[in-house]
Amino acid sequence: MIEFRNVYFSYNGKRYVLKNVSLEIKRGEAVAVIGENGAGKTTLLKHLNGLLKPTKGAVLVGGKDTRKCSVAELSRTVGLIFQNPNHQLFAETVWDEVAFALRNFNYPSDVIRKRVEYVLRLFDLYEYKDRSPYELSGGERKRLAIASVLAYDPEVIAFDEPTIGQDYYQKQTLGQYIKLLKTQGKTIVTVTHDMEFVAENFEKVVLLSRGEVVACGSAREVLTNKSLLEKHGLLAPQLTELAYELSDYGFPRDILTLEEAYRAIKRVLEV
Amino acid sequence: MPRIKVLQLLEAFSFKKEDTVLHKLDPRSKIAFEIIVMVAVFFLSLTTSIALLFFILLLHYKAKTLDKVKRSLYGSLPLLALIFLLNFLFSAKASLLERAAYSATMALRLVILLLAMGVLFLTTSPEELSAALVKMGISYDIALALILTIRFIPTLAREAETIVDAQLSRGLELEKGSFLKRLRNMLPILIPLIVLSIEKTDAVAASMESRCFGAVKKRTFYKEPTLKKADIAFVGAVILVVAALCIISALGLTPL
Amino acid sequence: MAIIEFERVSFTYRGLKRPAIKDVDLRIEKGEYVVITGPTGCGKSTLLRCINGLIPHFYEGDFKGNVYVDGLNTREHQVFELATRAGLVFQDPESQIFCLTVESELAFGPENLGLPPDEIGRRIAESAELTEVSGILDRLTYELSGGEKQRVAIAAVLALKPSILVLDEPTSNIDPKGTLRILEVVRRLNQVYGTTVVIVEHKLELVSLHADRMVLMKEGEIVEDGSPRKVLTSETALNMGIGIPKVVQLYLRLKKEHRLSDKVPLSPREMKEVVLSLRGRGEK
Repeated sequence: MIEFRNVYFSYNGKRYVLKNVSLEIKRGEAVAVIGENGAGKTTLLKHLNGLLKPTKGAVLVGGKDTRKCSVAELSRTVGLIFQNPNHQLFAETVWDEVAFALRNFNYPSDVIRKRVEYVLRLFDLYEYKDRSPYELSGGERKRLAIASVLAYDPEVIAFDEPTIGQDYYQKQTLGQYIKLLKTQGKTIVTVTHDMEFVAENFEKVVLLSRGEVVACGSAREVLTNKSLLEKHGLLAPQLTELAYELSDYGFPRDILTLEEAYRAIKRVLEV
Repeated sequence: MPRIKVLQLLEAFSFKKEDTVLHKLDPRSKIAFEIIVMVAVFFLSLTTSIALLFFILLLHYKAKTLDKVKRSLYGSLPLLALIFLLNFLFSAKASLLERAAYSATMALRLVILLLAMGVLFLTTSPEELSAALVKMGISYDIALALILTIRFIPTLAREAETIVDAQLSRGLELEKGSFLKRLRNMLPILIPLIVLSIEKTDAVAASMESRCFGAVKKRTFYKEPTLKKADIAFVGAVILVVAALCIISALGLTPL
Repeated sequence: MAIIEFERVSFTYRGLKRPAIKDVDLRIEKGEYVVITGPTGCGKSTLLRCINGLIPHFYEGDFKGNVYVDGLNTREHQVFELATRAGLVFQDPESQIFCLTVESELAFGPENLGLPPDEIGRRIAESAELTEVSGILDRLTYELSGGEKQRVAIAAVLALKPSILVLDEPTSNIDPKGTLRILEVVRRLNQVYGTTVVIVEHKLELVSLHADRMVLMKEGEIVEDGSPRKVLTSETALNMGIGIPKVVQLYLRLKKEHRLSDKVPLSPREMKEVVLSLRGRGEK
């Protein structure tokens, strides 16, 4: 679905922010791109819908070379959801806000009506349809931002740091939306440094450090490799730390969930 | 519409701390230099203008700011060309050479003014500048407004870029369509920007209160501007050079 | 007397119907490290704004009750007075930095107080050291990373020499490395220099060990207040939807089947001890 072929990217012609990035994301996969600040994660994300085009190499989305397509074209396939919903809210009503992208893509008005209504109900925002987006709370605005993108049903949904500033409940809700997207067969790409969130929702992880891909594998492989994460400025999930503490006692290293940790402890006690 | 490169444009006026003579001068000397140049520039012929230009470029060289200045010069070339052209076409002078010389002088004046301003802004931090302004009698509130503006322009530029990215990602067309349509398409960018700016203003005000803004009537300045020997020497040199050039120009000693 | 005291405090922002905080009673002693947490909209930020006087002086609304900070009633003293007792650090690093260089940012507060330049210089050096920003004093503020900006913000507030440091989700927008560094600075200020700390945080797995006390808020009211170990395992917390650290959740599961000491583990290391002591006792 998405392919990065030896991509190099530089903003100013002097320093490369992305170096020789090669990646393949298959249809239906849920991938988390992790790395510390400045590693190039957001830069990578912006290549998915053509906001940025590679300086060298190529990015293919659905087989199309992004350098040959406009952002508007690519956005129909890749829905990019930015971190701060306030960067996009401008419409008079919540309805118009959600309809915005659909109108830009020239959907017929009856399709627009159906889609907007569906998505507003799905995200529990239907009661606000005629209200101004500015009347919504922070959490509601975030839902609105996601709804606006899902309204036009892109194949790929990309999130930029979705958990920043979110409380526990909001993160759980986000996790549920991701689950829903997975059941619909969508391809999901997230940029984040929230390891716990990744552990709970993503199967595949790409670790970016200083513009290069230093690891690409299952969440289990990458997130439980404490030394790798620390080497690149990240914190391992708490359960991984626990696994390392108890490694001398037969506790397996590759623990991701609470359930696994519990069972592992029981086994340690049997010894 | 090309991606906003406001940050690059602003680099021409952005301060960076260096260890040069010009950086250490009292901002008031530099302000005096500005005023002297701004007045004198109208009395100079082409040749003397060029001489003044070289003098100012020399100052930039000493201040290690020549690179930044180069970039802003390239950026202003279209405007300079326009000024030259307009003056050339509408000038009342007789010979072709005189018209060219006059037009070039007009264009050069703009360059000189820009570069002279650059000397002040590139070598003086906004805080030092406002301390100097206050010492010259300008109210601190005005000086603070200046600092905050300079401080937040890069921030707002970055927000604007993010907004453009977010809206482009929703299919907003900024390059195609009729003029009217493109104008209307600016709304999804302007509205979030304005709202964000207002919210930011609120947050900044709360932060400033929390840092004791307004606690005492007469606030002090950490870096109090003081006139030193170097300042007197600098202003003296500027007056000499500029006066000499004005005299040369007035006496008609130069060909153009 | 407690260094911070809330006496039946309620506040409703102007134009809103529901109070942001309701009948809050809270006492914080000098030198305590208190974590305040709860779902979005529970009134945490409002509570913090009452401590340095932004409420009631800057934010308009209906203010009931009394708040005493270092003996001063916040109704009767301006923000600029209270700010020298309680320094407030906000969530967004961008909106609390006004100057172009780090050094001038640290000077801003003391300059506002009208202090002489050499005293300002001393305070700059001290606060820079406490927050590990001495090496970047000459840097331009807009070039700094988020983590650096927040430490500069903390230093700028410390330059006013408050004995209380109040922080509103300071690590929200910061990456893991930066977060650890900020929280370490805060811990040191509290444990080494005795600064009273009141911090709103969601990343409970990182602050529970440093904190003496945890306060849970829900819909404007305080619903739990006690030691982190007690609060994180309380019924209220479990039903509330806050980020209870994974090791605490594990502990609670094990407790259903085994006899465990009441010392709730707050870190992987402490959890290790729990497991080993179980093992040592031959429990399966």
